Amino acid sequence: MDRDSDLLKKILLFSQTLRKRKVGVTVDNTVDVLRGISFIDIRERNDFYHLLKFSFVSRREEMKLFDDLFEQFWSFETGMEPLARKGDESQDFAEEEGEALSPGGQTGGFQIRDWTDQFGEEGSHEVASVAYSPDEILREKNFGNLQTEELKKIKEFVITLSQKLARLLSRRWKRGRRGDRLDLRRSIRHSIKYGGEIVELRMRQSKPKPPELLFLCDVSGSMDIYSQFALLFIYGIQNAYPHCETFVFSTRLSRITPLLKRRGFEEALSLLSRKVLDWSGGTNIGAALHQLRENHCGLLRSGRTFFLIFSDGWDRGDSALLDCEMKNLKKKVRRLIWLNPLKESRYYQPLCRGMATALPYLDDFLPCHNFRSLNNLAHLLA
Amino acid sequence: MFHSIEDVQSAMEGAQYITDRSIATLLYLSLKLGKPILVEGEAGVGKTEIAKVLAQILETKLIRLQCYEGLDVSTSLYEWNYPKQILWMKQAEICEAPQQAVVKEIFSPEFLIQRPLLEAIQSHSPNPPVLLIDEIDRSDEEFEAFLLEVLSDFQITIPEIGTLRATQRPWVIITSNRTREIHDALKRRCLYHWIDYPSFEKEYRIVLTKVPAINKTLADQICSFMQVVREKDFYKKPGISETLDWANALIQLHRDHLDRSAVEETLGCILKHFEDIRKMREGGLDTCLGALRKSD
Repeated sequence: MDRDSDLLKKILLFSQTLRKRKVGVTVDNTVDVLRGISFIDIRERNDFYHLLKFSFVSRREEMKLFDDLFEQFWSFETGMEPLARKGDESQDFAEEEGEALSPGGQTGGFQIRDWTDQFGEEGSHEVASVAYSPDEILREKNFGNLQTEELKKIKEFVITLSQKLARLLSRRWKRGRRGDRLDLRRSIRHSIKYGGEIVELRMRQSKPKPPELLFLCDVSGSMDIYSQFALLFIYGIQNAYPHCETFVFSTRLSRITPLLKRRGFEEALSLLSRKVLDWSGGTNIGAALHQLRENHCGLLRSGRTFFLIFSDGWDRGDSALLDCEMKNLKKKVRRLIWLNPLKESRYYQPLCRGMATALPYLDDFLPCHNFRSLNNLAHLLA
Repeated sequence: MFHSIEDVQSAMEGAQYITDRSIATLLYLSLKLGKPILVEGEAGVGKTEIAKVLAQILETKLIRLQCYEGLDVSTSLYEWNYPKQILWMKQAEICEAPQQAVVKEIFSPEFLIQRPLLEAIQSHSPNPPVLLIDEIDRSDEEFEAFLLEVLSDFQITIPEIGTLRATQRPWVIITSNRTREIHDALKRRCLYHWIDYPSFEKEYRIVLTKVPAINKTLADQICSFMQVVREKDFYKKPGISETLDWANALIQLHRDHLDRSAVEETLGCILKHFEDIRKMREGGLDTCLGALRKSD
């Protein structure tokens, strides 16, 4: 009996550890595990592992973390019940873990290579640096001037925003007196008051098809911190909204939709910097658009696409090509939106060659230097 | 009913579903705990197949609800049989039946068309049925919320009739390709499992089981080729179902080993996107075949 309650305690402790590391374990899940142990042979490491995993984990990104924690937490000796590794001291387990991962905070200028460090693990305790702005000011603050602690906060804002947008985009309409489809159920119900004669027709509006989003994000050297936020924003949408494609470009175009999906943002970023090699090369927007049209023409077939370009427009490519591609693109998409971080300044004029070429074809030309501007973008799309 | 994980696994293999212990454990726990299963994974890794096999080994009915955008209550749960209602009303009018009675009649279960969810709840078969809710990520969020309600109590309220309670709980399997995130509340209610592409060994066994006419060399080559293809950056990576289609196609063409021409002729079995096929033709093919030769 004593041994049982011991195991129970350890399972509870393990579930707390997971919760501390942001694996959303509910009481129900823990109850399932406790019920489950009576059906399996808990001396079998593999079965015990699967019971815990099926119950506690609920997304693929959590699996690696779960595996690591499981490995650290439980020890197995042949023919024995699973033991928590650190015995009674395992109380401290969760806290120790959190700190071991912390890369330490930093501030100042950013390099793309450091990305994964800045968006460190959720559980990490970064050294809080200097001033911390209240939320309202934070929303207005240029991404380029953020401190480490503020970065974390803004990151949460951006993710929430993108998820809200995804929800708004997939909302649809129905019912109503007018519409294009007969709602027989409601018509018949209403006919009863006329003795079964259908006098009033009830209609249903067919649901409008959801828009498609295509993001084209400049990751050349000059964009740096802004592309981080653009990508974070896109990452949130990509994982919550099905009709979305993402490309990045500097001199060359890469489709990164599958890279962003089904993994944590940090993992996605490190994959990105490994796979998309020419990070800090120059910019060639025209060539990127050309490549998009050549290789991925199917994506714009529906004519329902919102095409969003995140770039500062410092183009080193051929402006005749850019002009031609923009003209082409304009015909195929529902709305062509350009987001430029430099546009925040009152003194900014779209004079640089790339921007000047593209400008006549744009439906919207917007800034994207702080949270407020991303928020405005979300309103425009929804 | 099954008494151990081994029982489940051998029953599954008996039904020609080659699996590792994890999926057998998943089904076993789901049966014991009475919890729905949520399986996620890439297209074509055998998610839907799990439900089919479960129905087969439990010797019960499989009820399938295919999700799509715009799926709503009237196509997933129930619908009134309108033509029948109208005819009935007309007849009642001629016979001058009392209105109250008519209303009561036309909103009785007799006039109800059962859709998959209602069918699963109202099933009177000796064994509870298996309810497969396929590709839930394609449905709208409102449907997901509605499903949550159904899955928590296994009861459905129809305004005109009242609450219908499940006589026996169906075994529920939900699949998702994860084109979007499923809501946490729904996930937490299920046992969760992510199915990866199969290892070489597993796929090899699957091919030999499902395509008995194949020779071992070809099966070996097909599976190694697939392992390489899946590492490449394609729009749609081929799953197990593509492997099986391909194996069958090669047999129909009387091929007994893989070479350049064999692959080129049948490329459409593996890759389904124009861009992917072009990418494969422009160089991908050589590296894949090259890797094959090395492994020989």
